[in-house]
Formats: sequence, structure tokens, C-alpha cells
Amino acid sequence: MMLDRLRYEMRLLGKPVLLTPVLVVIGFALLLAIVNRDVTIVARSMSGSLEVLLPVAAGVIVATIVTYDRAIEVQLTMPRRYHRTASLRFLLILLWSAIVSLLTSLLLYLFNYRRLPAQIVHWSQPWQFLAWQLTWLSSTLWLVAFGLVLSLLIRSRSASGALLCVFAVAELLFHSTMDREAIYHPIYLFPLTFSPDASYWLLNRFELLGTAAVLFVLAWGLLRLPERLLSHAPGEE
Amino acid sequence: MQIDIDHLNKVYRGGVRALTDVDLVVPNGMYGLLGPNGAGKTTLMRILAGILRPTSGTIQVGEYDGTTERGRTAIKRILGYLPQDLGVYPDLTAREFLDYMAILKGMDERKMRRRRVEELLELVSLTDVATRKLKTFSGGMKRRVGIAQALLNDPQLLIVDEPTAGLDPEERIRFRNLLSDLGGDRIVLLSTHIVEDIAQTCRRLAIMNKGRIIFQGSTADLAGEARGKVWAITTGGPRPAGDITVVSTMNMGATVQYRVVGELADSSLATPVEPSLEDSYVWLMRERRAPLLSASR
Amino acid sequence: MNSSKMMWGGLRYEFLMQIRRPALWLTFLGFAFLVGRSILSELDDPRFLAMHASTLQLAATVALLTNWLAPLGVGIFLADRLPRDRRTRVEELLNTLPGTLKLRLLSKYLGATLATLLPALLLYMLVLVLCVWRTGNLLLFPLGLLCYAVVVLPGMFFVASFSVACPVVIWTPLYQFLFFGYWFWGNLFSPHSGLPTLNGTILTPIGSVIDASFFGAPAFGGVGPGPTPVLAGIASLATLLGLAVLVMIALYRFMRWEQARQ
Repeated sequence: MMLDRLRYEMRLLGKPVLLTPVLVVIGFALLLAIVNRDVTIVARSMSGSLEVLLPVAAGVIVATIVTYDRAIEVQLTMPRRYHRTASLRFLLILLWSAIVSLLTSLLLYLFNYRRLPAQIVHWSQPWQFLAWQLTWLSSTLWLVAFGLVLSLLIRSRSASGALLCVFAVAELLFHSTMDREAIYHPIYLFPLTFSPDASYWLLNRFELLGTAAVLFVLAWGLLRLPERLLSHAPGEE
Repeated sequence: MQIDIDHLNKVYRGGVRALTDVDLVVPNGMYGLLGPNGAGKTTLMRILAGILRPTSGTIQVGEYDGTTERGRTAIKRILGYLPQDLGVYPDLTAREFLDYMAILKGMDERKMRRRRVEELLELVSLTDVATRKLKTFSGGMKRRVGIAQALLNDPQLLIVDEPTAGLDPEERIRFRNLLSDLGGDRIVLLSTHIVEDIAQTCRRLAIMNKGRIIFQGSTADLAGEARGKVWAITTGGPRPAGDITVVSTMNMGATVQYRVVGELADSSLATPVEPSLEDSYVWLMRERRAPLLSASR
Repeated sequence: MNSSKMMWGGLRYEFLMQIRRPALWLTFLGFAFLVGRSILSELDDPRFLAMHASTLQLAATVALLTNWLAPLGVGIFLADRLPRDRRTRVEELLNTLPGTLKLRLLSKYLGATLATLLPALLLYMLVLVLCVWRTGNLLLFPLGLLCYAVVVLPGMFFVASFSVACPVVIWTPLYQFLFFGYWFWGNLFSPHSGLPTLNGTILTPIGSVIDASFFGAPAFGGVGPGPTPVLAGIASLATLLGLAVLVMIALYRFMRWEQARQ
């Protein structure tokens, strides 16, 4: 049954959801291959795609897909509860994004295009590789959790996606403020791209996981409110 | 099994009062819920289906308490629901859609599930198009898929909300026949604003208006409500005057035949006729005749 | 029926439908907080003020700085306007009305864009008020509005045209994500990073080339080309507005072809 169910859920998510992270990575890598093969720049750029592009793509997909269902009214009458269905879809998107990110990081590591935070440069294997995965994992978990909460609070596909992108750009623009002031560290998403020498990198990654957990709890509560799931924000049909 | 609803109220955010002090008993068999658009029928259906929570009041569906989470989950196991706006997944075929819905209904065993899907496709005459994607289906075909998914778990409580809205006459007749066959040991709650749907299929009904139940009883009792108030008038002159509602008009060439409900200014040219269900419904809906009317519960 | 009346009616209702979105105002409120805070801290820095030889230059830089985020909101919130007609099944009805497709698209583009620009303009005016308050220079306000019209609006209309047109062929969430990537890469990515970027070229919709060439605004935070001839500014303005027109024409042609195909 579970396999049949997973098959249907993947069908319902659709090809764009599966293709987007793959195309993001391949597209970006091709662009780099054409314009600049300097190892440092490629390493910095690909680490940026790992830390920024893939998590933002996953966040936008979650914000615009997971809690919108054409058959929502029927879904809400099922004994298999909708919050579990939505969670399953969410986990599938997250898992797929994680697989693409992990494979990308593995390739970058093997071909020496990695950019490591100063804090773990001297670590031994496999701990260095494993810790480096926090680069994409923490940002991804935070952004998908944020996307999920936005979609449940605002009830608008375009507005949720918009706010998530706006938040990501704000993080990119104001990175120096976020680096400088410790109060922003628990939500500073992209330190490897802008502050690779930060002494707080590892702490930041775990703080992000913590704040993501808070967002997940909020999302879980909102998913159990059927009236909210049936509603749309005004003008956001 | 029966449904007992006591003092049910539903107030949406923003203070919109959808249901006011609804008391209703729904026995086994086909039961109609009639009312104009905005009467609160869909809200009541959604509360019974466990989609919405009531603001206050009690609901008992058989042995299950519909106001608790556990009760709602138990009701969902015996429930089949066809909403007014049935959304489908356009890229799934009819067979796949039903199979998926069956999985969500807890039908885990693949062979049994697929056999059930084939039975229902046959019942709703969609076997020949079972491999076509739902985006190619007409409105009537989607409705049939909808009723099929509602029947997957052989529900004891079947709720259908406006099932024939937008269907052509042939589809509407097919649907009514299908629903009629489904009564019996289960409760089939048919919510509609089309009187003929209920006249053809239900023996008992309730009428809602502005969030309240204004009538509950048998269709025969309802038909009797307008006795002495329904007239047929054939005239070559102007439309009949009086405190009336014209229910139908038939052009006969030189004359026009009116069927009216109400108090005529001059009944000398009118012939009293036996009220139909629609006549009685119109009579009840007239504002001056809207006080609570209940047949015995 | 008079086509100008139809155009005006369509424009008015597209404006109203867009302006009533709470999420739009929420987003620009967030922008106001971020941008206001950032500009206030710059104004407190004497080196920032010393970079500008005149009030006009300062007004031009403020216009540019406020424009770092606003077009992102404009572009993303316009992306769902055409797909929405299809989703709400209004498109079929609209196709039967006497107004032509051309009129409809134009009124949708202008109405929705003007509505989305309104909170952006209010945000900018708030920033100007803050600047006047901090610097005590009242002239900043009218000059700031002039700079907004010249530096910011061409890029906004450019962004708006792509955001209205592209989601007709691309899945809307994908467009939003690509737009986010494009906005950062095309406007805020440093040309010295080793990767090609539109930043500093006449295609930069943020308006940095227009800013530098017409008003002599200095490069700031990696945004802006530095001293630039006036011709480059004219070329940028013409290119941005010209491309906006071309994109809308292409959209009209594409939709007409789609309708004929059905």
C-alpha cells in the first residue's frame, strides 16, 4: 500500500517539482563551465548554489505546492488525515532536494571544488564531510519550514512564494548586518557564501535547525485546522 | 442508524452566522435537505462530514459523537462524501483517482481495492473510459467519478451535496436513479436546491433557510402545506394580481396558463390544483410564511 | 462600445483587484522596515553624505537604494495575474466579450502594475520623509520624486512586462524562483566576482546606469557602474522601456496564436 501511495503522491507533485532542483544545479554548473573555470570561483559559486539556490528552490516549491490540493474538500473527509498527506508530500520534496544536494556536495568534494568554512577546515574525515552537509541541510530545513508556515498563514501561492524569495534576497542584501550582529545568527541562512571565516558557523547551523524546529511545530498545528486549509486569502484564488 | 443534531450553531470568523439552532433527526434511507443558495446546507454537510467544527451543539451519528476528534475520525470511516465542487486531479485517470482515494480510505489490500474500483466503475458506467485522464472528462463524467469515490468504502453515511447541479437532463436522471438504489440500510443525505431531485428520490426531507430548519417531515406532509394555496389560471389578459408567486407559465397561443402560489385578488377565474412539492416549497419560502414549521420528529 | 472606456474600466478593475491583496501590503511593509533601517544607518555615516556633491546626487542614490528590493516584490506579485484568469475560469468568459485581447492585456498590464507600484511608491515616499527628517534638506523630496520617475520607473515597467508575460509559458512558482535568482544576479551581483552579470550594463533594471549617467550618482555597495556618459543612460532607459513594449507585443501575439489553435 505504501508504495502505491508514494507513487500517487509523486505523480501528484508532478515533474516540475522533481526537475527543478536538478535543473538548478545542472544549469548553474554549465554556466560556470562556460564562463569561468577558476577553481576558487567555481568552488565559491557551487557552494553558493548548495547553500542558497537549492534551499530557496525547495522553499518556494513547498510554499506554493504542499498545502494546496484540488480535491481538498474530499481529502478532509478521509480517515487518513490530510495533515499526514501534506506532511508526506512535504517530506518527499525535502527528501528529493536533500538527495540532489547530497549528490552535488559529494561531486564537489570528490573533484575538489569544495569551499569549507574555516571552522571545519582541519577536521578529519568523515566528520569534515558530514559537518559540511550542514551547509545545505540547515538552510534547506529552515526555508522549507518557513515556506510551509507562510503557505498555511497567508493561503496564497504567489504571496507565499513571493515572501520567501523576498526574505532570501533580504538575507543576501543584509548579510553584513546579519554577520555582525549576533541577534540575527539564529536566522542567518547563508554564512558560508559571505562569511566563511565565521567562528560561529557550526553554532549558526545548529541554531537554524532549532529555529526551523519551532517553525515546524507551528506548521504542524496550522495543518490540523481544516477551516484554514479550505480558505484562501482575499484576492488570492 | 440515525443522525441526531441538537441546537447546532456555526458562526464563521467575521461573525457570519451560517447555522442557527439547528435541530434535526435523519433516519435511515434517502433524506433530502432543501433550501436556497446560502441557506447553510453546505455548512451543515461539512460539519457532518467532519470538515468543519460546530460553534456549539451536539451531533450524534449512530453511536459516534461528531463533536469530538475521535468521533469525527470514526464517522469518516463510515462516510462517503461528494462535495458540491468536486476537485479532481487532472493528470490521473479515473481508475487511478479511485485507487488513490481508496488508499486514503484505508483500503490497503491491493487486490480487494482494485476489484472494488472496477465494480464502481461499472456501476457508474465509466469502465470504457477508465484509462482516460480526468482532464478530458465532461462535468457529468466527473460527477460520476465523484459518486464512485464516495461509495468506495460502502459507507453507512453517504452525503451528496448538489449532485445534479450543472448536469444535462439525461445525466440528472441517471444520477437520481443511482441515488435511489443506494438508500436502504444506509443514510443518504441529499442536499440540493433542485426540488425535483428530492421529489423523485426522498420520502423525508428538511428545508433550510437563512441557517435555520423551517420544515422537517415527509414529502407528503410538505406537499400538504400548500393545499388550498395553489391555482391554475388561464387568461388572455394581464398577469394575475394578488399576493402570489408565479411558479410556472405556459404559452398556449392566444392565452397563457399560469400556475401560482399564494392569495389571489380574484379567484373566480382560477382553478385550485393539487400542490406539488415545488409549490409547497415556494409557499414555505415566501417570507410571510417563514415561521418554524416542524412535523413530528 | 467606446474602446477607451473599455480600457479604462478594465484598468480600473485590474488595479482594484491587485491593490486589495493584503499580502502585497504585508510584503512592502517588510521592505519598509528593512530599507528604512538600512538607509537611516547610511545617512548617519558622514562618508556616505560626503560621497554626494549635490542634493540631486543624494536623491538619486536614495532612489537607487530603495529600489534594491521593491522591484522584486513588483515582479513576483504580478506573476500570477494572467494564470489567475485561467485558474478562476474567467478567461473563457473574457474571450467572449467585445473588448479585444489587446485592450485586455494592456489594461491588465497597466492596472496591475500601477496597483503594485503604489505600495512601492508609498515606501519610497516614507524613505524620503525619513531622509528629509535626518538631513533637514527639504529639497530632497521633490528631487527624490523626479529621480524615482527617471531612475526607477523604467525598470519597474520592464520587470512588470516580463512578470505578466512569462508565467503564461512557465510554471508560476518556477518563474518566481528564476526571477529571484535573476534579480540578485542581474542587479546586485558584483561584476568583479568573476562571473558575468547584467549589473552595470544598460539592461540593469535596477536603474544604476540611468542613475550614474543622468545624476552622477556614485557606485555603492557594488551596485552601479561609476561615472557613465549620458548616452548610456538614454540607451538604458530606451532599452528597458522598449523591451517592455516588445515583451507585451510578443505576449499578445502568443495568446492570439494560442486562441486560434484551440
